[in-house]
Amino acid sequence: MLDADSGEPLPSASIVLLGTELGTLTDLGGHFRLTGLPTGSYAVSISMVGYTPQVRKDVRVPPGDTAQIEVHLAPTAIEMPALVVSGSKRPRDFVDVPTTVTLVDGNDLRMDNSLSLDESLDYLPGVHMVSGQVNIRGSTGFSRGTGSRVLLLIDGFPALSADNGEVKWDAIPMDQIARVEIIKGAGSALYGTGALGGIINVITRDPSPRPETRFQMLAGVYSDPTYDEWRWTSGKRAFEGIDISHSRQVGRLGVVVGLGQKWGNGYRENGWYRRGKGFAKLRYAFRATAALTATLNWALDDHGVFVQWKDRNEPLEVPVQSQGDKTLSQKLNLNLCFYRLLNPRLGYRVKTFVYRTGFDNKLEGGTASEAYKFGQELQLDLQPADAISLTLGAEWLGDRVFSSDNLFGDRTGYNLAVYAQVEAQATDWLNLSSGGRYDQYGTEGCTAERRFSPKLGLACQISPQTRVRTSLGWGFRGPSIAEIYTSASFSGVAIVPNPNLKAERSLSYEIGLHRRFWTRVTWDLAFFWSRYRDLVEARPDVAGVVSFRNVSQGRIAGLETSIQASYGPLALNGSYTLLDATESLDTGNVPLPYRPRHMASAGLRATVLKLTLSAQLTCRSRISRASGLFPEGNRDLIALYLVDMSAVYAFGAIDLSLKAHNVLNYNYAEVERNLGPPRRFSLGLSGTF
Amino acid sequence: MPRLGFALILTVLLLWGCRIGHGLDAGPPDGTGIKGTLVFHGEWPQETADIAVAVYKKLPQSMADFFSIAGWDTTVTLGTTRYEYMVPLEEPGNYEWIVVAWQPKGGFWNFSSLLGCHHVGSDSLPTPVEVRLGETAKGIDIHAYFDLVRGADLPDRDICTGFLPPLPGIPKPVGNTGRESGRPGAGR
Repeated sequence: MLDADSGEPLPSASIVLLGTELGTLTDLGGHFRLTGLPTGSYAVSISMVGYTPQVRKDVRVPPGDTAQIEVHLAPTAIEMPALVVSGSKRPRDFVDVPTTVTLVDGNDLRMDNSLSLDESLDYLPGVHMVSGQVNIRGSTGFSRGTGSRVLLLIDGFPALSADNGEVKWDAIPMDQIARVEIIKGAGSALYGTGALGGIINVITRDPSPRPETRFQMLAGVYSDPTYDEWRWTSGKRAFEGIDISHSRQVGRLGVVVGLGQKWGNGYRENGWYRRGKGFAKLRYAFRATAALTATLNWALDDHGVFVQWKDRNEPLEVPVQSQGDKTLSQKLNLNLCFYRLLNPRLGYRVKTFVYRTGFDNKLEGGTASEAYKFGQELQLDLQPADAISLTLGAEWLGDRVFSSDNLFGDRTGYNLAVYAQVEAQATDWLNLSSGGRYDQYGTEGCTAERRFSPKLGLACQISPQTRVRTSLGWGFRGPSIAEIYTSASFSGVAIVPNPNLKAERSLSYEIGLHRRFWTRVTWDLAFFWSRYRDLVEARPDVAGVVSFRNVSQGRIAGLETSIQASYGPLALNGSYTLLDATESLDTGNVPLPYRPRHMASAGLRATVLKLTLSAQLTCRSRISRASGLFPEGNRDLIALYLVDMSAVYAFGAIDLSLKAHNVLNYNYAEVERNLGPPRRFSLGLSGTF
Repeated sequence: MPRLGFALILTVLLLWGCRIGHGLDAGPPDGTGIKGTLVFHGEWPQETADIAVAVYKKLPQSMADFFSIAGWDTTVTLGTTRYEYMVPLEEPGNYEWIVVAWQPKGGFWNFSSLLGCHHVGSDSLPTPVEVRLGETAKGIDIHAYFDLVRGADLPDRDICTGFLPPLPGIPKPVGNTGRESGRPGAGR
């Protein structure tokens, strides 16, 4: 593997056999070797940060012999993604994916000094968070912690909690992330329930072939409130954390183990937290073409609870009755995947997992829950012809919830599914994909539902610089156990169960264009349209009793565009998303709650020797409609302008990063009665040895 | 040249940022009203149906006065030891009687079952509160004693209801001190 300009060898470049789990890295001399491969023809993806990726198709491994390839990678000033796994449940060339995909590199996340992953995703094109709930093109809005309309995966395994169907951001091992793939639009054709508006797949790093120790330390403080009237404590509001991990190869066994902790007293009352976490990934290679990967991810989070501010003039304090409210929660993922490549045209994987979440609320009513999501999956990767790939699979999932009677009670749920997806390289420039998934699912005490979710996609390379894509997909989200069975009273509001709750459904269409100008600019444009049916919302009846109900239909249309450019040491990125989100009620059309109409971001980065300076601006227009649960409506949900700035200096293997979030100390609320974080400064130190 | 470009863009960004302002400001105020903390003493009775804070312009002198409530808050969370209440009011002025009332299950509001009223320090009568237009009088805390509805003879019974004239259905507290006019300006 050589630099096309200098002819120098390239160490640590990535080599992946497309459609398989097999791959390796180049050594210090730029060499790589994949041994024990079955005879046949392979497509090889070669990539490295700072270089234009390549795909070598039809690399033939002859019987008893070795195929030798020499690759010259051309340097590029702009980021060039190589692979996407989530679009077809196995590695696929980025240019063949018919939907809009955003990739985030793990190294960028390490330099971001974020306290959790949701902060880092918040500025991406078409993505926005509403008080921790992720929206892809306005999919979710804000459902107060019950029922994410975006499916979170960790290494391809489902990671929404079994009880309330929600993302637990603190459970994601930030320091172990290799990359994050964000697939936009309905994705139930492969992934089933939850992928109503899109998929986020967090891919953790694989064991390193060489002994490697990594550490990351973070410390910071929040600025004082803008107004003296808001000051609620004389103490400094601070946070700190440390993560350390080691990876190595021991014979056939590759190992990654890591530990970490975070502490913070929060910028507002009850904002404190203490977190601990552990991570282990073991990969045992039985042979070159067969490996078992086991991943264990554990997180403990003891934190205060801030539901709403005391009042508009004391927005950083909780009502006196909420003082001392706190929650102790634990999360544990155990994922196992066995992969075997039988020959270049047939591979299979068997997956099994359990995801345990539990919380114990020390607040009004004293609710607690312990929930298990578990499942098994068999997937076949076939290549019946040179230009055709077929993915077949069967999956069963289970939910088991043990909860106090004043919350969900003890409940079970199940989901059986079969799926298939075919991808055809019709010509050198045209790639077609089609598939579907059939699900049968139900929850104890409710009528079982059946659903078929098809998809169609097309990616067309109309010139060496221009690619067009279009796709049509269906999605659904079965109601969570929390939405069906919550029986509780919060702050005087009674919530009652609704066993008649049905699944939400979506249909998404998009057409997009990706264009490269010279070697310095890339531009992406997508028009999208989604229709949502039977959206679930918590609404009161005439007596004021609240339950989750299928209340409305929604339509979200818009466009999303992004640009990346570089000039010498400067790099520029920008994005804009227009959302026209409408809810159809009996009384007429109104805006869907918590969706801004305009979202934009712009960033500038300059690298001078070992110093990288960057500034990022994120803007969102005013939320025109909120939940309606509070008399002030959307009064405080004003437009958002956030500016972040950072400086990163590289001392050999150590990076020192200084970051200021919300430099303008802009005061905003994403949901009613919740003031967003003020300006904060953080210092990060990370290194790899 | 690129450095100059970076500096220029950064400068424009900062200048533009300075025009954005600080977003949400320290206002608007909650409006005309009274707020404070309810502190509950004693065990909550099993038969509790509701708790309300009621605000009166004048100390009641007749049964009709009991129904002249200027404002109330019925969102009190049951079972808690402290609760932050807020009573919006339509007009500013001096409010003489701010009380906490208890409602039993299957029963009606009954002012013989007052749990307490706002009074400060050694005051032997309810402390009046001055409310200005568009402002919320804060810190109007009230101690509420469940033992009062169990018949205990606590000082607060006399302070909160001792001034009442004899009225049907309302027991006369021991040691009635009679009525004095309210003192203005005690509330913040």
